[in-house]
Amino acid sequence: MPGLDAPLQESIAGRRSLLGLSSPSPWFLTGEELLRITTVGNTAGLTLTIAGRVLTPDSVVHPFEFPHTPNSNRTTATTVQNLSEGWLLGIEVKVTGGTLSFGGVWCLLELVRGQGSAAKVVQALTNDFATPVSPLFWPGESAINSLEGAGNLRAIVGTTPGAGLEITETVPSSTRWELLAFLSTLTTAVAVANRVPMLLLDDGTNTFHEVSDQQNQAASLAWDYTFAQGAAYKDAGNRLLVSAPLPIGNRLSAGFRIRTNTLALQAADQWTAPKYLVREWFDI
Amino acid sequence: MAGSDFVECAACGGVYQCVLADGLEYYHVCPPSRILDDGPDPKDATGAARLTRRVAIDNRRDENIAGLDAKGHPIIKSEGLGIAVVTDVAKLPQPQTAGELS
Repeated sequence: MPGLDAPLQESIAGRRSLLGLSSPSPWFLTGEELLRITTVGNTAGLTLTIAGRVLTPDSVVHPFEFPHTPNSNRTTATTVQNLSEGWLLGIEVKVTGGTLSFGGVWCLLELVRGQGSAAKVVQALTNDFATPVSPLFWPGESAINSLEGAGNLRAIVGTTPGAGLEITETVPSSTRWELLAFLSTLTTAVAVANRVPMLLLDDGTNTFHEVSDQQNQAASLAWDYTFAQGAAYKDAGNRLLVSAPLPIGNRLSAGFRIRTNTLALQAADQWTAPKYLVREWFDI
Repeated sequence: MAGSDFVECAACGGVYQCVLADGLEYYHVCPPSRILDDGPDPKDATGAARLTRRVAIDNRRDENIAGLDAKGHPIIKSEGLGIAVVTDVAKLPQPQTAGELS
């Protein structure tokens, strides 16, 4: 068997113990281990391709490749692949179908024994985000937790509330957000009252931040309200735009809410669908 | 406009898309309360002011995922009173413009 040193050749031929001998990889597979990929994603229509190589005991490099489809609702999706006996040389995970921006799918690679709920993890290999251009690879890649990195930048158009209702946007399950900017328009009805909108951040129960420009919006007006990190308290001279700051570097967990609370809101007043920009991570 | 059809929540009247134009899923949650109009404010001689009160919304819908069923399909936290596809064009969100003085 060319390419292998003598002790190793003899070891393989005689199936002796490999302890103390150099080997192509520290990860020897007995044939009972399976490669499991677990993903969390927020983008529909994606296909990942997992490719790798195994060096068998008879010195043959066996490449393997299989597809995986992540879920789009931030629940985990798994695919398991049988591996032949030998040394695991390397693995790459790449987005090969669909469109996504960075941070839209996070992958975990593991060696397991057993199937389904009975599977036992014998070794975690690596985890990181994958894109069409930047793959997740092993060995050599540093493991990146799903809460690390630049996050997935998302521009969201929320719910247009009914008349007389406030805006309520909720951080989805298994998600962590940083709210970067928020914009909506309040059109007040003919009923006389001074409306004073506030933007609230709460944990689903307890409010931990309120911000308002404290401007009175009278009847029959349509004012834009914008809140952004780094913004100043400001209202335009003609009172068409009101801005106020958001906490710098805020973090909102699943179930936390971004909502308006308008003093003296009238039954026929109408908020538009909020448009907001967030950085998103998977909180799993 | 891209994305899925606009739907209206039967509990709160909110209008939204379940899949946004960029392909990402959106999960509606009803606000906790609404403002009800109780008629003219008797203390206001002009009759332009209204009496209002805030009431809780019953059967609130929460589309966030509580878990997966036996087949791996997502289960939402609360169906509420359901949703219906919006057919009235007037209910669809209009392009946002700068505020206008009446």
